[in-house]
Amino acid sequence: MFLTLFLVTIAIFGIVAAMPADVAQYMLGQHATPEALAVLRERLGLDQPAHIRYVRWLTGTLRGDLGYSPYLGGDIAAVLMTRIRNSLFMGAVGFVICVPLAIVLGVLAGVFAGRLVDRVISITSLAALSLPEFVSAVALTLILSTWLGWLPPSSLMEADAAPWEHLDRLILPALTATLAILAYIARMTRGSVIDVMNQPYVRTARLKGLPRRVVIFKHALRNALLPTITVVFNSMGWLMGGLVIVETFFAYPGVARLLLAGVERNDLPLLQATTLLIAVITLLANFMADVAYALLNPRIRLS
Amino acid sequence: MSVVQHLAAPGGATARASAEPSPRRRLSGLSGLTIAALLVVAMFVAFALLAEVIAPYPPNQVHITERMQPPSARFWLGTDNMGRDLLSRVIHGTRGVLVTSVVAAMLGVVGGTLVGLISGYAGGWLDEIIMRLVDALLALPSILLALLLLARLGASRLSIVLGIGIVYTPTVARVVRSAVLAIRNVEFVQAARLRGESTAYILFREILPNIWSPIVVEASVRTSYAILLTASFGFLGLGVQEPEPDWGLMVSRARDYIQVAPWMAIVPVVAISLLVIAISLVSDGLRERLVDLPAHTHTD
Repeated sequence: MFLTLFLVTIAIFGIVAAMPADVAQYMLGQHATPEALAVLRERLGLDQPAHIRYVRWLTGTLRGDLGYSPYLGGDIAAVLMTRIRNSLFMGAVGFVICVPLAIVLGVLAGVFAGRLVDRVISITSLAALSLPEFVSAVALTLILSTWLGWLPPSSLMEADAAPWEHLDRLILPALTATLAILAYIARMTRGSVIDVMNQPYVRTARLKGLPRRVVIFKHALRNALLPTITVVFNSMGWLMGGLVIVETFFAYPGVARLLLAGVERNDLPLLQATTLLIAVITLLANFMADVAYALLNPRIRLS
Repeated sequence: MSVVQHLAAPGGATARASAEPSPRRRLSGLSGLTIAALLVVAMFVAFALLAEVIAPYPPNQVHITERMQPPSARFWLGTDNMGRDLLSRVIHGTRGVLVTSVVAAMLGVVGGTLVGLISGYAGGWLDEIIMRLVDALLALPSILLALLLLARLGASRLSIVLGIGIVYTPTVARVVRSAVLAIRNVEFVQAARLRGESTAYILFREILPNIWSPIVVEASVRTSYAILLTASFGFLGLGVQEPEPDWGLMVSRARDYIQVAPWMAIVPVVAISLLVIAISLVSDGLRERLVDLPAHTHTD
């Protein structure tokens, strides 16, 4: 995992460092004198060769110093932390709603495999899986906001406002961001429920006359939910990618919109910092998926 | 971009040569769903080729007195906030989406095939290094990587194509590599090696023709993901500008009117969904026909 992380930092730096944008020019504007530009470049360390700048960026990041952003006009670290908090909180709300729902739907579809309930759940989840976030954003906004009027259509709020005080504005983006994950978890759960229900030990439990309910909840589900837990962690990484669209659609002040501002304004330090942070979260989530799986399944202990 | 793509185990494809059935037999084996999906794809291809003939109005013609009209006999799918016919705009928008995503996907497939062939056939330290890099690139969500590249290249149609192509290269490389690994030590490859054929000959004349099936399937899967990414960039306003009839851009404009004129958002969203789902169904059909067929052994 650390090797991958290291390679990721090189990839990010490589792509960003090769950009034509000149931070010094951006900060001083079009009419800056060459002397002033040279002085500023030296102060920012832009006159150094790439590998030295890379080492500086890496050590700075490790110390919590993410650098200076011309767009924000200040230190990146503080702003980025608020934004990432907002995004993670929204993601958490989404997971709290979606994961239990997905497991219930998946178990239902798995237990009644081949029947109408299963067909409806399977086809809907397949559709939800193959569509981009802004399609589900439109669908959910139309249903929950325009037609039913339950939720506000936008999540506009001050970036440093506490998102938990505006829970109603969070639900739509949270649902949108996790809808495909819901679909995926439901499908995974369905698959493993079907697998487990066909195992000899479950058949034995049924043959010895235990009621269906007991067989499902006490015998089958314990094993059927194992792969689901891994998927929950794995999909966190995917959630980070979906945020770009979701936060733009609902105007939610999260980390992905900060990243997009960096892209639009060619703000290199901001781009590097946001991408790295998102990459770290993704990698960490994948790592936790492996650990959780090993902890829960004694057959695959990490050696 | 999507969970499946993010989580899918690489290279489920087994690579063995299948005897080529005649085209007619191949078509007759397709399910009704796949044929319906093919028809939908054909419809969009017709839109792309013949937009000027099919669309009732030019994409940017403004009917100033009929803004935000719901669907009617005159405007089948309604009009937008400027009074432009939504049906015409969707039809004209097809070309941009299809060309961008198909070219981007092909770029990713060609690049990934080259990398995968080399990595899988070379093995050893070269393979190790390439696969580590591939892992690192795949660790980033694909839209993020594409965004980074887009910032680097400057937002334009061309850089969207390049960006998506580069993003999909590692994904395809993994699939191709595992297909190569499956056949690199099979007799006919060994025979070619013993005959003293060059590495390039073995890669392109012996191995490549025998791993076509997973590559074709991968290409169709990549195309549907490329459509998602292209539309997403349009939605973010990157690489496209008003008044271009781009589907993603249409959705982002419609966002502000979603309470009063929901059809403005529904029309492009349905177009994207139809196309993407149709292509996924076609690639499922292809997978069944090409990859999961009982494979015959290669006869040289």
